[in-house]
Amino acid sequence: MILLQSPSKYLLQILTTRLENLDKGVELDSYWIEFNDVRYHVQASMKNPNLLFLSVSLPPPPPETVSFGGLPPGAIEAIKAAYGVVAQILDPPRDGFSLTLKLNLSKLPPDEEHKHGVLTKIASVREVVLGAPLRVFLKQLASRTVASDIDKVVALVHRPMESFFLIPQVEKVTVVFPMRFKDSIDILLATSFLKEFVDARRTAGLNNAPPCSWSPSPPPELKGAPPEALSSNAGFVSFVIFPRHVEGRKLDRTVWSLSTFHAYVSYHVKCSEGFMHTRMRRRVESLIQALDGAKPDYEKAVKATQNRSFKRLSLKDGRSSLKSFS
Amino acid sequence: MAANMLRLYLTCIRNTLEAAMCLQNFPCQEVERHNKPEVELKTSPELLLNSVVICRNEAEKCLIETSINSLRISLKVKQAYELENILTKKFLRFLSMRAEAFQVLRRKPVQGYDISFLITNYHCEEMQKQRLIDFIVQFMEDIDKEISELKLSVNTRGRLVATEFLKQFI
Repeated sequence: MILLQSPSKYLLQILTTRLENLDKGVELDSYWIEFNDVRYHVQASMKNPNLLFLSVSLPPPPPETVSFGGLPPGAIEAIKAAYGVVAQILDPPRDGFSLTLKLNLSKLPPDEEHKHGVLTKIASVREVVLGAPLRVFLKQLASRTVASDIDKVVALVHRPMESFFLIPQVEKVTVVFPMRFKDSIDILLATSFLKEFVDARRTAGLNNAPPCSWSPSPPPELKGAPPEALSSNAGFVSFVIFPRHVEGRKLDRTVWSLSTFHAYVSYHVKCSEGFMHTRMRRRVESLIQALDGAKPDYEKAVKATQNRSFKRLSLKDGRSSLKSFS
Repeated sequence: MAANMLRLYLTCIRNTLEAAMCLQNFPCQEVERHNKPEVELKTSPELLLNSVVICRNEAEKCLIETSINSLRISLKVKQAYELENILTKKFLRFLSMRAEAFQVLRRKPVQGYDISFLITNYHCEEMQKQRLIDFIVQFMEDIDKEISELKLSVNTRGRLVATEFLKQFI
């Protein structure tokens, strides 16, 4: 799996299993965390098998971002638009979470295709809620309407206490990510991956993809941003999004890709390290085998196991020997 | 051309090792009933032979120190830029941590080098001399190969990651 998928597989499985076994409803209480920054909680009881409580905790926003009462701007409208009557926002949310939704499975559309579509949309709750402010800006780009924040630097949260920046304009939106990693090896691997973005776009006929660039220092577009938010150890990646990247069905995918960009790079850095470990272990094994070959006893031991031969005894042999006695 | 240089470098090391790997048991002169690898102690100059440094270029070299009962081989591997540097360090540290499994590997490299072997007369009694030299030379080739393959895998994966991400927008 190279690309990160928007609907959470685990959540989708919980929902579909619950739906299939409504009459056998069991107690459900599960916590999990996604991409090291968003926590989820699902709870359902046997008393009301149709009701499911889904809680999401969003990463705490750093001071330079705008937020209204714990939820990103535009999130509430996005939830209402995506889920309609199926989900109801509970106020206040459960302890320790930013958002709790009461899902009523009996209010799902009757036909299978639509039902699965709504469940998939519920499993993509991260994209709907966390990606809401980004979605607002990109939708304005798609319809080429003039936003109120035009030409200004907007900070949106995507990881705990970390934000990325948008510079919305009429014809395009520039998205800049300051990339930060904790481990020194992560930083080096990530930097080499990020530098590839520029080269990859030039080759492979990706002319329609957003123009991207990488620079070790903050790019000039970020002049208005507060300096504390501009620290980074793996450079700054900028994408220029044009209306053709956000028209129609592409809008959702663009929102998801951009809001999980850091998680995507981090995931591949970790995969790379795991792969290197596997390679090194294999190499160590082959070297130790070569060393064992230097011992003269090794060859004798190998030959001995190959030359061992056994005579197979069977019942017939036993009976024939008995017969000879009687 | 580069392969030829590597061959010459390895042949030179192999010939030096064949000459140097004539080890015999030698009980310690200073402490009764002790038997130590003299090349590590370096206390008695009459037991040590002249050390040899074989340089492939400014960045890569091999130091071979011999004594009456032990032999120490230290390698310095090329590290051109940051990523290669860190891959080399990671790989060689991975190997050194498993020094016990390798028997002839030293847990810490000699000062100024990246990885070291310590071969004693006991190793020579257990293992055939030619095969042991073959192993050391193969080890050096394998280090080179492994590091360049790790580098390649990082670059390939980086290209793939970038391409797949950008393809989503088309």
